[in-house]
Amino acid sequence: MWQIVTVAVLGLRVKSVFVPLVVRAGIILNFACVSVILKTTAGNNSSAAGGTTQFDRVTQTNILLAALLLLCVAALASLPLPSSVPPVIPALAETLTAAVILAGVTSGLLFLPYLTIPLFIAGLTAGLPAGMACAALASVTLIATIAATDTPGHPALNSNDTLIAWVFIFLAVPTVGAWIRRIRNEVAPDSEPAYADAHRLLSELHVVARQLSLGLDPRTLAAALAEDISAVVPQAQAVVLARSPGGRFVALAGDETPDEAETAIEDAWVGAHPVKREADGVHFTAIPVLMGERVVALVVVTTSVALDDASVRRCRAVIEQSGPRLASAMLFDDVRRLATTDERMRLAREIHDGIAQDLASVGYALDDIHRDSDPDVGQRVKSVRDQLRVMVADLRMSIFDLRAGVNDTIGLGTALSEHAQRIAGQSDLIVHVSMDESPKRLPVTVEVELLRIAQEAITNVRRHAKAGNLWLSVTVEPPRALISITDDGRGLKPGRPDSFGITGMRERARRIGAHLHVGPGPDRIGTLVEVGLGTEPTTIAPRPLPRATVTRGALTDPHGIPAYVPQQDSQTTRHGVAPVAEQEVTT
Amino acid sequence: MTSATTLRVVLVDDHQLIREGLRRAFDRAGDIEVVGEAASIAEALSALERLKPDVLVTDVRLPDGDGITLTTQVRAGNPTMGIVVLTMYAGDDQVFAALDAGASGFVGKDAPAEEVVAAARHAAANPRAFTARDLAGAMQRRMSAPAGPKLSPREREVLDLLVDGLAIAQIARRLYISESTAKTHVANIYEKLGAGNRAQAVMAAVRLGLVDDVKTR
Repeated sequence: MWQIVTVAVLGLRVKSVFVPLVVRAGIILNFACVSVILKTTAGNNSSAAGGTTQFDRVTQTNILLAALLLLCVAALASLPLPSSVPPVIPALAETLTAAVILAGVTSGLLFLPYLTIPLFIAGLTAGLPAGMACAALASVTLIATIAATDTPGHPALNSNDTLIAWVFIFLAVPTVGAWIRRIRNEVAPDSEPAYADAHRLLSELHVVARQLSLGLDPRTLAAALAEDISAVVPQAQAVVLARSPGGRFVALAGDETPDEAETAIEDAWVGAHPVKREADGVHFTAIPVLMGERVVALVVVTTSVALDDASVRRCRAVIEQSGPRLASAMLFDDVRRLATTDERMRLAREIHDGIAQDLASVGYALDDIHRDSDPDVGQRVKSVRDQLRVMVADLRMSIFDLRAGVNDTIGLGTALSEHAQRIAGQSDLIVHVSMDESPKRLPVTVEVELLRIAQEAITNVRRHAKAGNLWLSVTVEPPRALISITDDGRGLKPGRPDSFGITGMRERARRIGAHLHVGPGPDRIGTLVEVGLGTEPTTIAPRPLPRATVTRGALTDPHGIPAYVPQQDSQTTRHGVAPVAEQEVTT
Repeated sequence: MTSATTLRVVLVDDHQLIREGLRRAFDRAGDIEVVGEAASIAEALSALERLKPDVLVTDVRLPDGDGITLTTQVRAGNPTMGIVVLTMYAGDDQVFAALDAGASGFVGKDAPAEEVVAAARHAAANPRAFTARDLAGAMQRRMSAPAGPKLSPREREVLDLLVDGLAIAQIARRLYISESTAKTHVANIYEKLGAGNRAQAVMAAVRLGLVDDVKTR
């Protein structure tokens, strides 16, 4: 029995809806009982005649009616409202309806104390001015309703004094409520609601991130936005651009914008309002995606005729709808990237301070032993020492990889060619780099994933392939990119294709919507790893003759001696990459 | 001052096994003596003060700071001490950081102990002649990398007009943009060039070769 009561009480506590309702209902029933008892005794005293029973019945019915109506009001008032509704609104509504019922229904005035509930709540939740407004409303409604219905001999309000006393009570109750509210606010430190808010937001983010990991992808959202724009403005091409902290614009969706649109883009970003430009009969309209006052992205609409104001308005309406979502997705993406970077830095520190130092010190110890030992043992020690040196160099490389990344100044091409140079400097591999990088860049998050995939592929070649040559070919032509890593080693061993490295590469490729191909190299020699973004590998259009700045190749080996470079024609044509202006790089 | 007979070396590394390994290598060399060891920058500074060695061999990552800062600090007070930077980090940045700090040599921790000893000898003889493996390669890589602040095409246009002496309102009219937009562009240019006013911005632009000299005359 007690358990049931406990469960019921707990249940009531949990359901916050019930608490205010139960309080209200309790007060109403209480007054109903008191009224009935009062009336009965009053009736018995005043008349000994036979009309008593009838009088009592009528009165009791009236009391019951008033109680029922008030219960309805109480139930409605107890319903939870969205937090966007100011608390004064329900309090005002409850006061008004309750006052009308109390004054309008015969015997209703017996329930007059009920009005103190909404008044108290108004004072407590909405403050003194709102409480006073409710009190005034209650008083006016009461007086007006009594005057209008003109019921003489109201037992509770038969004199003006009583009425005035009630008006004072009405004014006093919200004052008390407001006073309690003030004390409560002073006691509760400000930080707690802030933490509660932060926790609520983070929980929401957590739920969203778990359920909508696809729905929170900036590129998908941007593509949807571009599509919506194209639907609103027929025959228009829409590009969604984001700006990296370094100030460059990258396309989240759609093709790169031509250089002629550059100034419109910048002006729209800086001015936070739509900017129209025309160049050679092509019209560009750059419309900012706003989050409050801040520009978070830009939509560039390219049309053959100037966009009229109505179309711009339609575009802005579409953007306004999906802007916040895109902004949240971009923010989330950035948070995820920062978290990943942090974790990689931590790993780098751990390797650096732990196993790497230990191995290095073992190396020094071997150096010592080597010099003490006779030639035969010395030879063996030396070979162990050489292996150890490779291992430590490997770890240094891993630490470097973990710490390295692309950023606003170092693009994918630069980062990858530096990586390739390092590899070449620390192994017997001859690395051939062919780089065709547009001055425009991919979003940093995409570049990071492509870099990691390429790093992993190169590491696999270095560790497992026993190859003599490594060909790295990078073509970046935002929003498309193609990277291929080929070696002339022993090729994929059965069972290796789903090793950890390749699984990780696949995951990364999937995350940015790229395709990954791992298979035997040309003429079934070695291994070919190819990762393409934005298009199938064979459909990357051959670039027109690039400007001199487009192709950036580097470098030589530490001693400045160029190595013999095998012809690469077969490889480049196979990928459909124009062989023009490619600069062979060897180490 | 390099002693004619033996080289006095102080080792700074927070890993004891590394210090022990290197100490043995130095001891074997015969004419080199490890006079002190330190596991942190604070210890290193007091040891250097006390022992006044010919060569300092320091790790980059230390518990209370980094060896590059230590190198800068030591070099500022002592132009003749040999300083060898020893590191597990790979990458050109490390090499250049050591070079800029005034180190005499840079050795990776994968290299045999003999290389550290050789670097220490070189450092004692030529404290201001920097040596490192693959220094030439790193130099070339650095040369090929773009340098300096990057102005956007629009900012270049605004800069050109600024150099021509146009007022903000004139720039705005010339480029068909609002004055507030022009103002923001100018503010961004100042920030990128590290300038506080128009004159500084023009100076910086000329120095960086962002505008034609002819135009400024």
